Amino acid sequence: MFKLLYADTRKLIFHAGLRELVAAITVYLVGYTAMMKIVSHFMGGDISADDIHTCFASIATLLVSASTLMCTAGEYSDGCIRNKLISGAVRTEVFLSAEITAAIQAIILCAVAFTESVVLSLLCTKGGLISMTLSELADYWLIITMACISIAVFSTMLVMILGGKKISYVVGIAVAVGLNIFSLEIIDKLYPSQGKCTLSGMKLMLYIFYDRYVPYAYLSMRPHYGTLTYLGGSLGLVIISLIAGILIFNKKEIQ
Amino acid sequence: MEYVFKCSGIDKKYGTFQALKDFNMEIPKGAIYGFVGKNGAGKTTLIRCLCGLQRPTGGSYELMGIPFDDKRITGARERMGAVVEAPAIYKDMSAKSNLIQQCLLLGLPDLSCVDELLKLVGLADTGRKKAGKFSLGMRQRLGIAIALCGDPDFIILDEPTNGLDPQGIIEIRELIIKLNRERGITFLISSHILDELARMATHYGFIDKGHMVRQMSGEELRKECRKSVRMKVSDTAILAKILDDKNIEYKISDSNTADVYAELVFSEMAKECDKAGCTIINMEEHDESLEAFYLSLLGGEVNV
Repeated sequence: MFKLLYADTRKLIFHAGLRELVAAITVYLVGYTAMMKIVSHFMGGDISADDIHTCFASIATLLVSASTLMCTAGEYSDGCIRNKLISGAVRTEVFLSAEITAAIQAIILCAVAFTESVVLSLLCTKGGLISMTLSELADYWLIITMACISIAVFSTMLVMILGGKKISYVVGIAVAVGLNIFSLEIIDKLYPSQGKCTLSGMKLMLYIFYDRYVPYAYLSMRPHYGTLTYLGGSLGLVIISLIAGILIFNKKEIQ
Repeated sequence: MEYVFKCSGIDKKYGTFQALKDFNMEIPKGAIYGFVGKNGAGKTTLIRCLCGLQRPTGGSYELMGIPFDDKRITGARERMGAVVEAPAIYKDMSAKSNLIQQCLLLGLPDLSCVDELLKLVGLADTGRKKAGKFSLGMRQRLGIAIALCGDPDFIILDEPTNGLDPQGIIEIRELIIKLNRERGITFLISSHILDELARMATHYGFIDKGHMVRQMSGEELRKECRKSVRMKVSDTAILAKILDDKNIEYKISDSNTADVYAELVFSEMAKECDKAGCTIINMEEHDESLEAFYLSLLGGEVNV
């Protein structure tokens, strides 16, 4: 297991997809900060560090899904998954190693986003944090990272069971975009900007469940539940992905 | 005889399509086993089952004496290497990095074999060039080098000379023969270039429609394919008597045709046959190549 994990982590470092996505995060954060700075210059006032820290979350779902899809699907398109199985690796270990590598990938992307957000906040804002304390900011990044890990594990599971076919990209990105949009819809309905929530009955319960336990929703709004709730939701998606993935991947026919 | 791979009655179905049917095969230890068959005959399906990429629907096989459903099979697989269809390489990495990756995957403590393998397959001077920019032949060589990582006892090569130039084909052939002789590595090679296969294989298996048509040693094949004089005569029984008297080896194909494994002088044979009351209809030199033998085995169909 550890030799597989070591090899997979090494492969991740060499993968061009990871470097491209790190560059994409940098471009996005710098671009966002520059744009906000220009807008605030003309409108008056200044941007807050909160804005910079929270902007990564809006693209995190897509970036993490794309990153894991690119890296894991390469195992199939290059045929390297065959080398692992031919070399005597146990399928469950191959699957778990891919999942842990995806989690590491999500942590790397979050760490890059966090570091760049801190640097940009220090360089481009005067007032620092306005609506968050430092401990809330730490909690926020912890929750973002947990959500990203669970999304990475879920996307990787999709690729591993769909066998790296083009459909895995389509399904992975469609799930990421679809749930991102759905999360916005839920937040709009549960926490309307004007008036009160008008949902009731089963629909209200479903929306609350999604908002509380589905990690895709965690990236759409600032944390409003306890950290343990978010941990539970992220862990839930990870466990479901691992169990479903192991069951299917162990029976999968590799070309 | 000790076998590296042995399978009996293997079946493999994809939906309603029967890819392998009651398939039997034995690969002796130390052999270069030429696996011959048309496109879609089931060669790659068998290789996939052997490598653990797919499970047979029926039947069983043993790899290095370990049954396929035994947990120890993973240990046996650690002693084999394979290039199935296209070489499996990381395109973002250099040749050296790809080999290091495979060594790490196998848990090899020493990476000193990497440079040696690169030299062996002629990729020592590729430096930091990414494998994605390699030519087809270079990728094939890298695939073989990856299969050689960990000093395996058994190597499976699916069309190893695909995309190679004539020089590359000769080099790969010499490499296979060298590894077989010097390190005792057993090879299973599926190839469409039958004459190329004939230059290195010690054993052969002919597959058609998912079924093993015939297995034979190189010696047996040479006997079947060797040069002969094909004689068409009025009565092969009389011809057989003449040839027996002369202590000449022959094979009767039908009541009028016989293959004679010796150089014959037409005028002498004509005289003797005439004396014994047998007419020679014609005599021609007959040289059966592996390709011709294969075609005759499968009833003259092409697309090998």
